[in-house]
Amino acid sequence: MKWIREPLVHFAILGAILFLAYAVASDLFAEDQARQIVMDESAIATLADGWERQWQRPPTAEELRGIVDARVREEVLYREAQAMGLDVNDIVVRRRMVQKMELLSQDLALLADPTDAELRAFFAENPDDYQVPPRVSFSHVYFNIDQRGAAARDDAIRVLEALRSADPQPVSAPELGDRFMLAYDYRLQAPAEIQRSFGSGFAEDLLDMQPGWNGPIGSGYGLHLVNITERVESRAPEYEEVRDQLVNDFNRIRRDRANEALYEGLSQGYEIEIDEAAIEARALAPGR
Amino acid sequence: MRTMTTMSSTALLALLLLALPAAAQDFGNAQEYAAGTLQNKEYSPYAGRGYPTQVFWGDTHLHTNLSVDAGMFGNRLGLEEAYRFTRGEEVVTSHGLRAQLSRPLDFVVVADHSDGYGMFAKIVGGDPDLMKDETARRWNRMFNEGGQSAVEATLELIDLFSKGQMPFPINAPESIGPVWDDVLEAAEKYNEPGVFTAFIGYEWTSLAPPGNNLHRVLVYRDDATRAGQKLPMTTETSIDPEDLWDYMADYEAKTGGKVLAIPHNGNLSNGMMFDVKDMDGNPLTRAYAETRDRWEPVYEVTQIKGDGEAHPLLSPDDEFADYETWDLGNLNLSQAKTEDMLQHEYGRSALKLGLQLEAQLGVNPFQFGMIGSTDSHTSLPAVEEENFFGKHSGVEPSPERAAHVAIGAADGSSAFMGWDMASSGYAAVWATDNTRKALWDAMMRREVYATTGSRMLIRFFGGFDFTEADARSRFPGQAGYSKGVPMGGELSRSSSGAAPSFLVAALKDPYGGNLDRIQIVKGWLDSGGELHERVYDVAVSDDREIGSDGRAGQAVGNTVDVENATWLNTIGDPELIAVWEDPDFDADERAFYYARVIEIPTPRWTAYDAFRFGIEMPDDVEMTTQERGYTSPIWYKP
Repeated sequence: MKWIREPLVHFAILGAILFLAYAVASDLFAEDQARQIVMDESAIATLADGWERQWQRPPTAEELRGIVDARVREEVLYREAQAMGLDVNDIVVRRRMVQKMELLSQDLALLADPTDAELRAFFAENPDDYQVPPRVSFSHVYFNIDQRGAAARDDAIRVLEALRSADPQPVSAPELGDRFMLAYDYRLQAPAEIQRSFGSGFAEDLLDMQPGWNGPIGSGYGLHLVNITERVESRAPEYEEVRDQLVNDFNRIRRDRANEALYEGLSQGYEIEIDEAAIEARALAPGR
Repeated sequence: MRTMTTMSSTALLALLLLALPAAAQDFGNAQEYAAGTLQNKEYSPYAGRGYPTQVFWGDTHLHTNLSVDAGMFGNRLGLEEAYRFTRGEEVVTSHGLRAQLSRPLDFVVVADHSDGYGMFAKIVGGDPDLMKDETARRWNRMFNEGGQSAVEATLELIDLFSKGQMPFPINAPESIGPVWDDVLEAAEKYNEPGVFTAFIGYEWTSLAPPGNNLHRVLVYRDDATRAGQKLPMTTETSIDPEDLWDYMADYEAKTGGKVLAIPHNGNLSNGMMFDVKDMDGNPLTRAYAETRDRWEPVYEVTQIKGDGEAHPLLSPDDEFADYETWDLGNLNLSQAKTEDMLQHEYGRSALKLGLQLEAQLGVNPFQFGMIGSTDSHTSLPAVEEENFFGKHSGVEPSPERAAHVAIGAADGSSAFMGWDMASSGYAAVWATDNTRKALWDAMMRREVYATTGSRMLIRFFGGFDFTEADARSRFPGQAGYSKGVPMGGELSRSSSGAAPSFLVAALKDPYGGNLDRIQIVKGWLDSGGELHERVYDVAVSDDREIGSDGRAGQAVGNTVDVENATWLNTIGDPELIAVWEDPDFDADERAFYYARVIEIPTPRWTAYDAFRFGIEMPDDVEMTTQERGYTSPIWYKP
């Protein structure tokens, strides 16, 4: 019975209970409430707190009386409007209620912070999303195709062979090629950083390389020989390292799922017909 | 090359010899390189370099659905999506398209309009307090009807908003406060020092009657604990920038924090952005100049609503001056442009006026650096030509967007069309690391430059000791910082009164077009009080000649296949570098110098749209572009 443990099911059940309780309670007290408006200590405290938060000081007695009166006035008119059925078929009210429905399902989904157990399970299900990227240290020799023309590749290969057989390695190999305006040495770069500096093709090629001199490979600038000096392989992170990120992602997905689940569940109760041909007929012709 | 005896290793010597026949060009200053290693007492030539070695790319001006106008035009993406997209993740746009940047950006300022912060959602959602107002109720109904009604409501709202005639209060603290809280929370959540910078900020949306753009983006150096202590300023308080500066001073005094303001779209200010009078019509004072200079270190010179570096009527000798020009009128096109306004609207001209004002007042109020940004209202800072998502959600990619009215005059007399949108720009910041503090400090010292969307690398230094050898250096940055000041800096008269020289270098965007040329733009004030400007080509591609007039007579050429929206990098150079000395220098005249780097022609976004949607563009629509970068100037002060 795996579904029993599914948090979404818990929320759905909890939600159903809340809805039900709310519905019953509203019915029970509807008659009494219709003719009674109570601004008690807690209601007034809420209004006062709201004021203070916005104006960064407590309201004066006069101000507080003003907002309490306004609240009462709003309540009277609202109930009368409802009694007259003014909310029926009002497009504004419709949209607003749809919004509240969605907010309600989101609130339900986010009722409690996810537990470590939930997060660990989520982490275990999506390990790829949290994989710590590999990091590579390298230096490179640049060959400017624009200046060397067709000879650039041959030049690069010749220097590569010499570098591979050089013992000891030269102090500053980048001097064997052309001046390059970014940098010659890079330390512990993640793929995204390499891509940012050299372009995506270069980054892919470089990540496949073994320690020592490699190449020549192309970038947006020209050709490069690359000396891989250090590789830190990609690894699965410890749970604690990514916990914050897991909370964000877990909550985002939980919210989306809650909205979807709510809608899915509710829409099952309807027979929905959509004229697909009419959609085709009314839509723009596809571009090439 | 010729002094190999200083090389530290015989192996290197042998290798150098080996590579020699292949090298058609000078290898660079190998001696300096090796000698520098020893002089630094460090084995590694790369150690001990404290100056900025990296450019960070970002957008200082991005709107989400919290901006009234963004929401009205259909933007449904909020803070989360904006940050995730900027960091390089894929998101689904308001129109249901999948979108992703070719490469992540390094930083962003989500800068929603404080006026009516979150107001659109309240109108659409039928906020109970707001619905007491008749107009709000009517707009609410129209927005919810959608279609043409929604468009009409949008236009009405913009019109009344820009005239300052909104029928209900939109800027009460109780409506702005909660939105500010959300903005702060999201920025804290996505700010990750060293990896990605989410600045706290907002846009103060001052429109001087009848609709002249004086907008400023505020950028905080601080975290939410400080920024949260004071609510954003709205135009309910004032539309006068001097009052904004007071507000900023008050913020700093109250919190110990730091904040700067970035103005934009002088081109839609109808002569007010760089006016030589204040808003009350009084001549500028020294106090005004000091205050403006303190709070506004940089200007957003290029963005989707046009490029504001230069105007063809102000710079008739500059064939590159007419680039993505928006000069029909003010922001809401309620007042047409006249020629006398232009000098107070464009970056180059403002820099010149600054020299004149400095001579009069003792302080230059317009001593600004330059950045680009998008001002996108789609939550997506997507201004690559082949990946352009438009000014607002109404002009996301679609077959119709090019011929859409982007901004139209209320009486229909004039309009900026969809195809007028410039797919521009980004802010480049030279900094030591990617944090709010490091990037903000770089903006403050103006070590920044603007591009029109390309991510080209530009170095620019001024000094009195640069020599040709520095242009061959393997470490132009090292030469630049040790012998001169970087972009944004100042030079004072040398003891001999010698002309300044400049080291300027550019490297193409690895994803973009090659470089056509590097230019240096000089502006100066002569002894008679007259202002002048001149453009010099200082490095040009493909071995073209620079004549004695300082210009390359020959254009770079054009490889663009408009029909298929492609081009070839068979022309232009991947990098350009030069040392240039001002040949027309007078040590008594104040001047500024900035570099403009121009790419070879590539397809404009309209060409990609035409190809991908299979549509025809009218003949007068630009289909190619030459992306460019503008550095912050270096000022010479005698």
